[in-house]
Amino acid sequence: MLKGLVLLLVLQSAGELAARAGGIPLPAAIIGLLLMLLLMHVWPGCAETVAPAADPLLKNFALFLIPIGPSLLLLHDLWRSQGVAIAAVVMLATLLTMVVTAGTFSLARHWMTHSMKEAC
Amino acid sequence: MWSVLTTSPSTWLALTIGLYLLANHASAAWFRGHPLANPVLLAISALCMLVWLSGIDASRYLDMTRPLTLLIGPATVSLALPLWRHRQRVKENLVPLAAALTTGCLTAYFATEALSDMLGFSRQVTVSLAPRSTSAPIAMALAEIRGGLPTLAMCAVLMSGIIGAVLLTGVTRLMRITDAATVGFTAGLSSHALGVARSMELGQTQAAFASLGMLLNGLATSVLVAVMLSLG
Repeated sequence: MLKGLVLLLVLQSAGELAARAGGIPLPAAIIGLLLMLLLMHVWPGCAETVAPAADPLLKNFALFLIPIGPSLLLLHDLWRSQGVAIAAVVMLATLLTMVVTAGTFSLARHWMTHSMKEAC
Repeated sequence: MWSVLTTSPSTWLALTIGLYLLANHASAAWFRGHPLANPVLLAISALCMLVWLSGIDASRYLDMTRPLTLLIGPATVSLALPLWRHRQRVKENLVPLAAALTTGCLTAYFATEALSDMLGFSRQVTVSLAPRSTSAPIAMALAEIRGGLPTLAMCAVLMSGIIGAVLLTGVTRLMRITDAATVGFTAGLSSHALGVARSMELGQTQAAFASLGMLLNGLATSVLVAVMLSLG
């Protein structure tokens, strides 16, 4: 497990280096994620090394985020003035996202099976 | 004596982990996994109450629970693992995945921005809401990198997750879509982990595509933000 944790932390640090010193406009952890994918591509065995550390972290991801929650108390002025409008925007945008995603996926699948049949 | 407890990191770590476990149990056993009884929502509500009652500052609580939030980074890097495990599925469905990822990701981000602009939200609020379809750690980082508020981003993420999970079957039924891959991918792309949880109730294929939708949208939205930042 510790080997996996070291690997995760090394990639996270590499991400921080790339973000700050390299000026890549991505969050450090995302750069770390991309580096990890790259590493798995050249060395597939590293998936087994990282799994004992990664799986428990992924399983309890919500726990690491929960401490951010009470900071919502610091935004009470915003809730009072724009809370309802924010909720409306999020709801409408989520609905739109679902319709567009489902529509596109379904059309693309349809088109693919159709063109495959023609090719045969 | 009371203040010894409320200013000790051990107390707050114990409360946070304890309430997380309790909220997980409550959501599964008492509310049968209903999206409105989301464990994160339950735990955060209880903690907000406790922090408020204890009289300590919310930023003080955040400091004391740093050992937990420190793990967000390595946990985010870990997301590469499920993505790697799904690589076969990505290869087999490249065309619909790429198409739906492009339109879905752009709609999620820019529809939120456009609606926020229309209602005259400040720039800080708008960039905090825009990445709301991605999972919380990614959304918080993407909000921050554009000058937004991570807390507000997390709140918008939770709301999107709950709304998507509640509306999923209604929306797809109205669109006459029954294909398991489509339903799953839609849930994951628009409602991240909560969409994945909802998809697990529908079936294995739905769940796999939901987790793919969540992971790919996290990456695509990050790239989108990076492109916007480099174009200025």
